[in-house]
Amino acid sequence: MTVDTSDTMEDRHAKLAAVRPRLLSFARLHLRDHAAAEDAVQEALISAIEKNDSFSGRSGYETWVFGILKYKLLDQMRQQKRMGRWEPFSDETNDEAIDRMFLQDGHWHEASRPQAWGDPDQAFENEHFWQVFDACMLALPDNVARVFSLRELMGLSTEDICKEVGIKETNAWVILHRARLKLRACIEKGWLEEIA
Amino acid sequence: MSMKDCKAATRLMSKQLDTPLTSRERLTLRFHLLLCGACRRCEKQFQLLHRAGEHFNQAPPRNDKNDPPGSS
Repeated sequence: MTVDTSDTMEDRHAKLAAVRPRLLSFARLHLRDHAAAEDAVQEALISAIEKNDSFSGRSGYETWVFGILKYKLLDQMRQQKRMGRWEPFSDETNDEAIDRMFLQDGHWHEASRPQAWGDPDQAFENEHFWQVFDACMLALPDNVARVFSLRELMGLSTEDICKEVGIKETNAWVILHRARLKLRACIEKGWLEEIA
Repeated sequence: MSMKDCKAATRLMSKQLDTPLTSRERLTLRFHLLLCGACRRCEKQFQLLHRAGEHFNQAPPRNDKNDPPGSS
């Protein structure tokens, strides 16, 4: 693949300015703290400018910047955990909000049955989808959101998540199941209502 | 697991996004999905959430020297 040499420094600054809101949203979903997210993004942007020459062009520039941010977020999350800012992960298996989605016999409760969402790929092109996604992520309990973010936004395996977070893999699967059910229900509520 | 149990089916459709299911788990889930339209929709929606991250942050290709953590 050819190294991308067409960008000027002005082009890259413009790309940084354009991608900043998405970087900030990404950081907030991981750190659950707006001020810390602002700091992490600012550091990532400064780092991208300082390391400009090490951008190889083999992935998109924005992807490279997201990669820098991911390392910073992992460091921040480790620090948050070390400083005791995370609630302990409980092994409790009961979750009333999820139990209410289902009848006693395990069938979907009528009000919770999944509706059709239309073309999935169109969702990702829809700005409103992302607004609802972000809002639903922020509404999740912090520890549930952290595990989901590490898995689906950061791209860690459940094995790696367990090392980072200090839980068992079976617990990671339980938490992810909970996250997916809650997110699905929240997004359906927030997104389809707008379309209707 | 009862083949009628939607809650248990959602556990399997979530778990398959994180680790391979056993043959028994896979068959149980596939059979349930034959019978249950709501769970078929749920499975698609879980898969959409699974792909959301990639779209959110433009996942890099493999072997890039700037690979973010967690890339295979």
